[in-house]
This record gives sequence, structure tokens and C-alpha cells, in this order.
Amino acid sequence: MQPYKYILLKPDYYTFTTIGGTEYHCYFYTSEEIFSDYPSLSKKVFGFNIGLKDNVSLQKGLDKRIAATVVTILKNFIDEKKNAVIYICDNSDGREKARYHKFSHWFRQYNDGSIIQLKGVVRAGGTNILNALLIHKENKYLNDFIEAYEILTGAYTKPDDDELQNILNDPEW
Amino acid sequence: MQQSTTAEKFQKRTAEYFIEKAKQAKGKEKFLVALQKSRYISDALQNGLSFSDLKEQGFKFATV
Repeated sequence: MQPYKYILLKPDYYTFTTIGGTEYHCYFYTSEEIFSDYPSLSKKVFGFNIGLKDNVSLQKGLDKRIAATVVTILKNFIDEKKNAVIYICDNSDGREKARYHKFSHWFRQYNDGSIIQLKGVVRAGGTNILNALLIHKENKYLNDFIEAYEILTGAYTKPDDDELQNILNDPEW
Repeated sequence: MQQSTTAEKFQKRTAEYFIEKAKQAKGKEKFLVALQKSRYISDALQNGLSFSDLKEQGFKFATV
């Protein structure tokens, strides 16, 4: 699938126009909030948003080139192997699940295997926050990111020193 | 004449506002702050603010 030709408006955003005339903006913004307890990681995290210019309504129908273009932009950014990207699904209109599935599907379809996608659902402030962390598999902070992300999303609880010592001293573990 | 209320409802924030909020948030609540920041930037652009305006408010963008 041939992606649309996109324009890079350094240092702020990417833009492309579909064959139907809809203009999309994609941008990465610093997002140190989630990993603020991990100073070595927090500056390496960027949020990612996709928006429509002038907030026009979308045409109905499937344009697979949009997915190919968005994944190309993401992949080029992550291929630098310096940064991780967090994608958080907007839930203000109740369509976060659709966004989550669409994004996951796009990524599964066009990722060449070089990028790892960690998906999570976090319950906070009375709402479910669907999100995904994207990181290059050769990023030197990969393991640190995975551990921090799993702790933050509640998928993993890091043992404290006493607990760890007990585990190491347990012959049956 | 009726004016759009969207712009009236929109409240400008700085990047520092979200950083401070994240410092106070614990664990999973940090995702809530990140969601609010993501939504804020998106809303700001839809309410006529430019990337330059957002940068003046302390937000930083990146491309490669």
C-alpha cells in the first residue's frame, strides 16, 4: 500500500492530504508526565496525535493509504531509536475503543517487526484510558521502558528489596 | 446574534500546568494527566491556536 506523500513542517508537525481532499496533521509532543518518576526516561517520551485540519467531517469509506501514511510517519520517528511514543486514545466522544482497535490494527498491518507495541488499559479518574507505548526493539532503553510501563499500568509490581531477597533465598522459587 | 460558545469554553493552559499536575499525580493518575494534555493540544489547535502559540505556552514538538 502506497502511503500519501507527506510534508514535514519542521520542527512542529507532518501533514498530508488524502485523495478525497481531507487534510491531516500528525504531530509528536513532549510527554514527560507519565514517566515523571523516571527522570532517565521521561524526556524520551513523546505523545502522538492525529488531527484534521479545520476539524472537517470525515468522508465515509475506507482509505487504506491513511493508515500506511500514519504508520510510516510513526516508524520514521521511532526508527531513530532515541525515543518512545505514547498514544492515548481520546475518550471525550466515547469512541476510544474504536480508535484503539483501529490504531492497533494499522500498526499490526504495516509494522515490519522493528517496533514493539505495548498496549494497556488504565483505570484512572473514573475513566478507562486506552493507550499504547511504541518503541524500537533496538532502543537501548527498551527494558527500562517496558518495566516502567508495566509498573505504571499495573501489569507488574516490582518487588521491594526484602521481597526480592526472600524470592532469591527460596529454593522452591 | 449567537456566538459560538466553543471558543469561550476553551481555557488556555501552559505546559507547566500539566507538568505540575503530573508531579502530584500517583501511578495510574499520570495517564489521566497525559490524556488531558493530549486533549488540550488537540482542542487548542481546533480552537484556532497555532503550533507557535502552543510553543509560547511551553509545549514542545518534534519531527525527524
